[in-house]
Parts: sequence; structure tokens; C-alpha cells
Amino acid sequence: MKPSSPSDPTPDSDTGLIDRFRSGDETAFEEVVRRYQERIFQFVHRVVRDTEEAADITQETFIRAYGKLGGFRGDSSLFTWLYRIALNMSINCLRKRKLRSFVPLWDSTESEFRPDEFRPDEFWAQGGPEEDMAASRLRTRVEEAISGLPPRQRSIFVLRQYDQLSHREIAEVVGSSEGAVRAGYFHALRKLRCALQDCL
Amino acid sequence: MTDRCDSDALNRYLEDELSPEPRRRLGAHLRECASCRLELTELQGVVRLTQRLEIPVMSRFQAEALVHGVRRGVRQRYTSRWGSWTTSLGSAAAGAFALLLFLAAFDRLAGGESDSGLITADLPEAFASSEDAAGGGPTARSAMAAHAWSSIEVDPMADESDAQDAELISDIDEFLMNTASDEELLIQMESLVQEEALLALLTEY
Repeated sequence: MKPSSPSDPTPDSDTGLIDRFRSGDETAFEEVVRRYQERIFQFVHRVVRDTEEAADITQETFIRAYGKLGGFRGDSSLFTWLYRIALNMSINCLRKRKLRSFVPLWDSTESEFRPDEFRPDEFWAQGGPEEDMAASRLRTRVEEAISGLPPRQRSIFVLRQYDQLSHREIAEVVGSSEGAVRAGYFHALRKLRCALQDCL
Repeated sequence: MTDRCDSDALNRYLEDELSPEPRRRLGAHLRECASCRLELTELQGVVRLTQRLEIPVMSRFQAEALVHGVRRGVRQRYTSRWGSWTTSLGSAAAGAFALLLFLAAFDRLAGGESDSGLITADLPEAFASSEDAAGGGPTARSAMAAHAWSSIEVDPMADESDAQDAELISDIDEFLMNTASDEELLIQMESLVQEEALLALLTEY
């Protein structure tokens, strides 16, 4: 569902929901949760790469949003504001995870990619067990490459590539300029190119 | 890349944001520069490869569980904050009340030692006698003691009402043990309510 414009005053618009919430209508907040929970979950999942943590962070994002929504000034749109809360929590999660564990989070030998087995045309196609295995390895490889990006760069990449936010919207979420976002996305692409060199 | 290679132009080209003139210039450069051609091709490959990753989808159950979790979290966090605040307030009020009681008792005790003698009657006889020896005579002291007792309001009906309450509770228990009919229960409850109302009326007057 496309987010409504920040200036749209209808009751079902984001602005309308915020107004209803401020006037004491708790159901308005539930509508906000239902409207954005999937997008936030998908974004967080792409950043932290763990379903349980993604669900926890999504839940916590909305709980925090509830406490702060009264003071939401409306300088940005509601969904970029929610993304921002989710992003901060996701980056904190990654930092904690890095502190918690000094060992790799996955066994790289288990999902080792062999370029000689790679047939690009069949890669994503549903085929027999061998093709499925190869496709699965490539997926893991791509996911690992994305996970290898620094958190901020990863977030910019995910917001651009998967959430299809504009540079201006991403700039609002990550709190930087459009130019920095553009450069961050390009650096992310170049790093992925190096990491996935043998798959290209 | 050569001097004419322009990363920003490549980036904008990938994002389909290049206006016609820079696009033409980049095209001219790409025809001559093999490394830029390779880079562009590989970057386009990265975009394609990463775009094909599966989208994590929430099931309807997960979505409902999340909404429920948010509701519960909001209730716990923001209500418990209020709750702990009110608990603290309650503790503070209880503390203040206890302090007031202590001060009142201390005031009475101090008064007893000076001139009002409100609490003297509570003191051991020996202590009262020694006070008699030190200060006012026994007659004055006994008058003060009488006044002190009268100042303590004792509800003469308290024991009686406690007994009546216990009796009512016993009646209800016995009735519940012996009765099976709802109708009878209602009648009995009605009579108990009437009895309570009568007792309240009696207490009032």
C-alpha cells in the first residue's frame, strides 16, 4: 500500500490517523500498525537477516512509535519516521550481535559457492534437487554479500533496492543528504560487485 | 577507469536518472572504454541478482501476533509506567500518613508530659505515680486521665458489628452449602441485603 501524502487530511490518511490518535482514538494507532507492519518487517529482515529478531524489532518499533507519536511533528512522512526508528533499532541489534559473537554467524563452508557449477539461466528456476541446491547456495551467497556491507550502507542499499524509496526519502530515514545517499548506494553496489565477482 | 570515467554518471545511468546530454556523453565514453563497459555490465548484474532475492512475507498469523504483541507491549510499558508511578505515589502517601500518625502520637506523648496529659492514662502506673510526685496532684491527674480516655473514640458497636458480619458470612456459607436453587439463593441474598441495610440504618441513627 502506498503511503499517503503527509498533507493529506482525510481520516484514513497518515495525517488523519495521527490526528485521530492525538485526539484519543487508540484504534488509529492500530491502523498505523496494520498499514506498515509488513513493510517495516521486510526492511528489518533484510537488514538483520533473522526472522525472530526482525519480528521483535518490528514490534518494538511500533511500541516506541506509540510513545513518540504524540510528539511527531510531521516534518517527514509517517512511514519514513517509522523506518527511521526501525533502522536505529536494527543497527543497534547488529552492533550488539557483533559484540556478542566473534565467530562467523554462518558456516561459510556449508554454503560454499562453486562457480563451475553455476548456470545463470537456471539459477532461479525451480528445477531438480541439484538446481535447487545451486540456487539456494547463490541466494545464501547474495544474502551474505549484502550482510557484509557496513550497517549504514546496507540500510541505504535495502531501502533503495527493495523498499524502492527515493533518495530524498532515504536521506530522511538515515538522516543525511541526498548526495550522501546516492554515493552510499553506489559504494554498496561496487562492494557487492567485488563480493559477487564470480557470480556475475 | 580513464580520466573521462564518471562514477556519478554511471550511478545515475543505473538509476535511470541521467538527462539526455550526459547520457549521450556516457554512451560515447562507454564505446571507447572497455573497463567502464565491464563495470556497468557487472553493476547491472548485481542489481538483477539482488533484486531476485525472496521477499520475506509475514503470514496472517504472524501479522496478528505482531499487532497483539504491540498492544500488549504498549499496555505493559505505558500502563506499568503509570502503574509504577501511582504505586510510588501510593507509597509516598502511605509514608506521609504514617509520619503524620507518628507525629500525632509524639505530640500526644509530649502533651502528656507537659500539660494536656491526654495519654497519661496509657502509661504504667509507676510512671504515672512518679509524674504525680514531680508535678500536679493525683486528683488533677485522674481528671486528666479521664479526659484522655474520653478523647479516644471507641466505637462501642465495633465488636458487635464484627460478630454480626461473621454471622452473616457464616449464614451465606451455610446457605451455599445447603442450597441448590438459584431462586432461593436470590431470596436469601435479598434478605441479607435487607438485613445489611437495616444494620446500616441502625448504625446511622
